[in-house]
Amino acid sequence: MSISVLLITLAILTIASYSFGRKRSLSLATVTEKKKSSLHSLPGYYGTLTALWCAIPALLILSLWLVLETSIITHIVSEDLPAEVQNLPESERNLVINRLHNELAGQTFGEPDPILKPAIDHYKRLQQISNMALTVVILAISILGGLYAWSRVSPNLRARNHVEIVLKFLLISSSTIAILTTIGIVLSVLFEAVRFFQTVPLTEFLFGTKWSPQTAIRADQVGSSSAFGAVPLFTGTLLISFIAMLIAVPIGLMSAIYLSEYASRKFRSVVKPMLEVLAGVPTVVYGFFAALTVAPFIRDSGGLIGLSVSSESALAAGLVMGIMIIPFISSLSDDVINAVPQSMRDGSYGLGATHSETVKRVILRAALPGIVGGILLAVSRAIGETMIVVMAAGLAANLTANPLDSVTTVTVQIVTLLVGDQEFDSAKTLAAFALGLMLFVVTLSLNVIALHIVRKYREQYE
Amino acid sequence: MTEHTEGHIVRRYDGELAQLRGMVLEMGGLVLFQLDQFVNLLGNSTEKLAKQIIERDNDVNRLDIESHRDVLKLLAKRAPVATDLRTIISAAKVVTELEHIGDELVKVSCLYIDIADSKRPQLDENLLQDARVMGKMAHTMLRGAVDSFDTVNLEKSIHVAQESRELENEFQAALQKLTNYKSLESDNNVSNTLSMVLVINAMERIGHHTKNIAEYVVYMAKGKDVRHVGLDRLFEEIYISN
Amino acid sequence: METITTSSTSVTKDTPLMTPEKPNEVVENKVIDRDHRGQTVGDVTVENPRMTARNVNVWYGDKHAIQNVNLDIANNEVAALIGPSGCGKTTFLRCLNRMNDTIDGCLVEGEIALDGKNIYDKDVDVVPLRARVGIVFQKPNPFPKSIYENVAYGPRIHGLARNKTDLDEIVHSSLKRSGLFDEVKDRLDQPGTGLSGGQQQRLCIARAIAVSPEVILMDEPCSALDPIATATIEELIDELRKKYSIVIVTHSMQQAARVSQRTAYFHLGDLIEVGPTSEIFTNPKHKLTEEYITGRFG
Repeated sequence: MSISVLLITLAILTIASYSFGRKRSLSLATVTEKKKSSLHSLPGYYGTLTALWCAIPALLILSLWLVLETSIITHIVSEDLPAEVQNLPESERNLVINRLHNELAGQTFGEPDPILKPAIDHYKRLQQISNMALTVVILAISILGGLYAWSRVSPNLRARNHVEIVLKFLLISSSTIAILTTIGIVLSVLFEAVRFFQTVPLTEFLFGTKWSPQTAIRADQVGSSSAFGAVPLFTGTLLISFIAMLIAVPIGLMSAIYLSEYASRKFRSVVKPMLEVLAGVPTVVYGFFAALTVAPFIRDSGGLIGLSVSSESALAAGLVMGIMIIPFISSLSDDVINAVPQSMRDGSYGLGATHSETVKRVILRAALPGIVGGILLAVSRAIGETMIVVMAAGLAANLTANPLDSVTTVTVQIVTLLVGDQEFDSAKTLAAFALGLMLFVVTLSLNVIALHIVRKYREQYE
Repeated sequence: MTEHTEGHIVRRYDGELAQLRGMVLEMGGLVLFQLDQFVNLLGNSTEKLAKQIIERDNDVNRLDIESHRDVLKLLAKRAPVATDLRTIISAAKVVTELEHIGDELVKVSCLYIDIADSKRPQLDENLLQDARVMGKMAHTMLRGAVDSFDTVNLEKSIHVAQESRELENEFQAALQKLTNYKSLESDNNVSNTLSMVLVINAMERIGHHTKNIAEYVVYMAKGKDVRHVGLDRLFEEIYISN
Repeated sequence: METITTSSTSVTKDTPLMTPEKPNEVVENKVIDRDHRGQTVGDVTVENPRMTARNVNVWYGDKHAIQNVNLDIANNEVAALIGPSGCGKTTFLRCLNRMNDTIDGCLVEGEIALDGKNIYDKDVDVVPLRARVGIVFQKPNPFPKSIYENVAYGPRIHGLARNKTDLDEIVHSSLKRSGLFDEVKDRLDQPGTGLSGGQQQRLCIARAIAVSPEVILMDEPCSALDPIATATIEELIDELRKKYSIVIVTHSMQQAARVSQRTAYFHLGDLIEVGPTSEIFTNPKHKLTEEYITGRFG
């Protein structure tokens, strides 16, 4: 029986056992004088419990079986391989086994290797046996589980409590999956980064001021010297983010204050969604805007006052990124300002404060943790932003604080390093993972700080 | 009058107030009965009647204690205000007055039993007549006062106040008569006359207590304290709107 | 019910009182008829008033929230406003320092004068007005600042202190007058929100008196507090009475009875009855007042 059919059968069995469990609980129940059933739990809980007993052990065994099946069969088959294969060194034996798997998957052309022929047959036979055994075992476990629960159904059985426990574990395992995935991502980046740091020292990466990631194929090749100093990338990132925040924070915050404190309800209901549309514009479109409109404009107007502005400037990218981030800040700030209780405003007005005094001294004060949290989230967003920078700021890793120069950012370099053909053992490729790790650490710490600030200064309003 | 068409939102409160009023009325009934018995006693002095009056006082005392307990309970639980507060306070005061009346009656009943025991000659019919008239007046007044408490009828209250003045006059007249009494020479007559003075004095006190009851009813209904104000003011308070 | 018969022609001093024949109907002193509500029972005026409200009408949009209310606020007196929910007592309170200005669609008509000057006149600035007529709200609402800064807020925005020493002096004396100083003197720099409910409310009172008001309005100041904290606030109110006029809105009739000298009963936007508190709570004149305070409707 194929796995899908097996699963469908299992589902049918589960549904059936639900109704059996429910019926049995109803038939066992006696109704007392006060119209109260003698059952401990509602009948549905007995049904659910029976269904869970039917499904969960079977599913656990099934998944375990599927995970282990291939490796166990492979192991058995490789034991039976001819002696000459057995005697091969470890890596070559693995190659043989790989070939075996490829044969089985039908990914080879022509006649199979005669040495492998018996092994392939053996493998296929074992797989058939396993498949049949699986069907039998799973169905048996499922039915036995269902029967066990069914037989235990009695008015005294605390079915509800059992079901609650199972549900709790289900929830725990779901949340664990999310956490494990994050850990997995970090680890995968970490391992690649560690490989990179085996070729390039950590200190050079962290403190080197020159970034030119080439890998020489021949030692005498032109430009064979490569440098992996990440400082220009980070300064570039910081420069652009700084410019972006310089634009976004005041504009976003002030528009939030206007919208939540001064604007009429009607105006607000129109403008706020419009502002949020800004957040929905794809970053690529912002990139066009930056590269085709803003950057030439800056270059031309810079030229008018005698400044030499490169056609791809940090300023252009930063400006557009700032505009992109405005709705982030204004929306988040607007929410926290609105969350400041009316009683706070009344208290201030009641003392004779004016509107702007109230906003400045009380409302912003009360909303500060939320606003700071919003800003830090926006910074994370700015640092991680790629598309605008690729299009507007260029690829040149300049170590400069001049916003009119072209700079590049960490994310842009990761993209350029990984786009196109590459081999996964060269320092050039691995450098991307090191950069990724750094970026991750930076944004993670920003988020942690943001959370900490929000939590520490959050006032307890009821 | 001050009866409200709708009761309290908390219905139990209404029940507790009604219970308190009921207790006061029951006590009033008992004291009225005692007074009635006593008036009957004056003349055909049977010891049995006197003992009945004394026994009945146990019930009066019990009701006194119970109603005071209920008053305290109401004050503590309901924090009454306005008409409720006045009703409860008036009830407590009325109970006290009724209890005093009961005590007066017990006192004179004991006196009566003493007279019967001492084998003294019968009381002079002339003296008895005065006492009986006063007793009957006091009885009418008390009935009126209890009724006015029951129905919050201020006209009855004012009537009681007026009657109290008449009873006072009667008392003065009776005292005058006793001072001029001729047959004071005999020893027996001295003690008999003294007893009679005590009896008519008790009747006068009962009248006074009854007047107080009527005044508490006015306080309960109008929130005006009309004790010690004289009949004119009382009349004014009731009939003239503020 | 009987109609009011105010005259008593047959009852005069000369009339022989002993005649029991009916001189008159016994006068019913409780007005019930709702048409009679318009006229406030009791004396709304006081000698030498601090504030006077005359013919005050308030609308929230189409809703006529307060109708023709006249009421004086006396010096050194606690006036309690009581009444069922939605009767307009809070609205009236908020009119007294124009807090209703902050509500959209709220229209106030009539005259409310503070020391003889109509506060709704065009030339009256609301900022100094609110410094003269302070308000304390139902829920303690300390600002998210330190205890010191909470109290210093008012003096700062009104420029009452010339230097730091002045400000310290104002803050300390306000805290002392609100009875909070001894409890918080070691932690003036800690957030006001960290105090207990009763302390927060006293902080709000300190904040209000820091700008030296003449009148303090209190909108159910104890409804969020436990009995002990309530008792502390009530004691404080009694203490503050020596220096300020106080108007308090309260849902607790017992509280009105405890803290106030005069009580005003509002019903559906009308001021039904005003009188000395002891009078209102023992012998209210108006049927509606009586029914409300005895718990016959609410």
